[in-house]
Amino acid sequence: MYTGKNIKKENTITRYKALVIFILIITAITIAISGCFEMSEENALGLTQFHLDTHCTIIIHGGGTRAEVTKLLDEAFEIIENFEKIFSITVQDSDVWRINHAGGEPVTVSEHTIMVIRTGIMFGELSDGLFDISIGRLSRLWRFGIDPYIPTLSEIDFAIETVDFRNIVIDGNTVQLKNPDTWIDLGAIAKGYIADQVGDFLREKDIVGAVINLGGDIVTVGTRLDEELWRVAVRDPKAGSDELIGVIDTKEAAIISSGLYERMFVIDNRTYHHILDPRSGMPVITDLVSVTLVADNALVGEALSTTALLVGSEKAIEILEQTEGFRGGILILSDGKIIKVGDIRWLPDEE
Amino acid sequence: MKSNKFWLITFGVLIISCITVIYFLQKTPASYANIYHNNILIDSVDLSNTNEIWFRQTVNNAEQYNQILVEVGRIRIQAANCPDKFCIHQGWVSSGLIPIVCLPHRLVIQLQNNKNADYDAIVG
Repeated sequence: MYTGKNIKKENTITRYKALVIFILIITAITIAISGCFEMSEENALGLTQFHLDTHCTIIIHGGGTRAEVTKLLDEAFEIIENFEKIFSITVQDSDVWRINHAGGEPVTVSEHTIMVIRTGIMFGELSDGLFDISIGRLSRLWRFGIDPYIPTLSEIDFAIETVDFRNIVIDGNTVQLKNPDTWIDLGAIAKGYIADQVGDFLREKDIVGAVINLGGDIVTVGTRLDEELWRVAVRDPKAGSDELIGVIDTKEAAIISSGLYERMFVIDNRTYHHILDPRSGMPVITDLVSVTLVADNALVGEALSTTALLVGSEKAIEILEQTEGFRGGILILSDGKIIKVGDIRWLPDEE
Repeated sequence: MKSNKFWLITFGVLIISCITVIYFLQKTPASYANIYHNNILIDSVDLSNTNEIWFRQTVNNAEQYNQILVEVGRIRIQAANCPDKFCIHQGWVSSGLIPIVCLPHRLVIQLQNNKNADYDAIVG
């Protein structure tokens, strides 16, 4: 028999059940949403911008919420912009611009500029002057990547007269060019140094890992989210090819790629690429068309990769094997042959 | 029996709620691509429909163009009058964080997804 008391009890139980269901659903949704935020913290985020006359991509694995990682990416790109203001040959009042326009007088510059110039001089000596950072007059003449132009012979003659890294004098934190007509150009080496600096910045942050790719100068930091090795694919250097010829798997490292296909231009059916021979003033011709190197840091890696293209495979292997910080690399010859040097994990595409 | 049924329904609702929320929240980020010119976002493209987008600019009195194609879940540059054609050779991109880049025209297409693809970078 139902009494008022029983009905009241029944209602209380129903309310109790409804409350339990409500709490459980809210809990479930909360767990699901927080789980998804957790997942987004464990994901990767990338951003690409144009700086240093090339495209720069930074990918961060982990590192918090989307907003937190976006802030880190912005800070990393700010570092690149600040270094561009120091190393650019065209930005007025950059260290390089002030050295080139000082009329042979000593110029006080930043420790970063001293470091990069010292490395440039070291590779000038290693390559018997083929890699030469005092190539500024010549490289500006060709206007690669801006408005390509084939210089006249007299223009080339004047420019190559000014190229000699032995004209660069470093004293403390000053740089002096003994020949006032000489211009230095750190374009073949500064990207690597900047990639290293961005890598150092991100290494200090609470992230799982990162890939910094400044136009082919790559620095990897930490690990991937899945803790597998970083995977850098190498494209076939033949013009117009989108085929991959293999993959380099590596731990934290600098992976640097240089090739004759970059910044090239075609005039009257003739291809002109951007690696210049300071002896002739013309694009260099060797048996190499592309090199991808793995090194401890990108500064040395970038200088090595350009040097390799300038000296050809035989001398390149000799230089690579004696350079501290070099781990290994892939040299691609003009006939399509691939030479593996040093100790790296190279997985060629078998297809 | 009534009590068992009650708990069965409760847990059923719980599991369905979880799956639904996870499914929708995970699916959202991969559905569009951002197009940047000179580091400035110029378009956000919905990848759920077929579409054709033309990027055009005039530099030194010469017209530069990139024809961008969109199919469900993927995007590519189909044609361009840049000198190296690297952007075209990159082909279709449907996942990952490696962008499509046209350096001569300073154009970048970046998928808005946060899943890593097979490679972390492509060089050469």
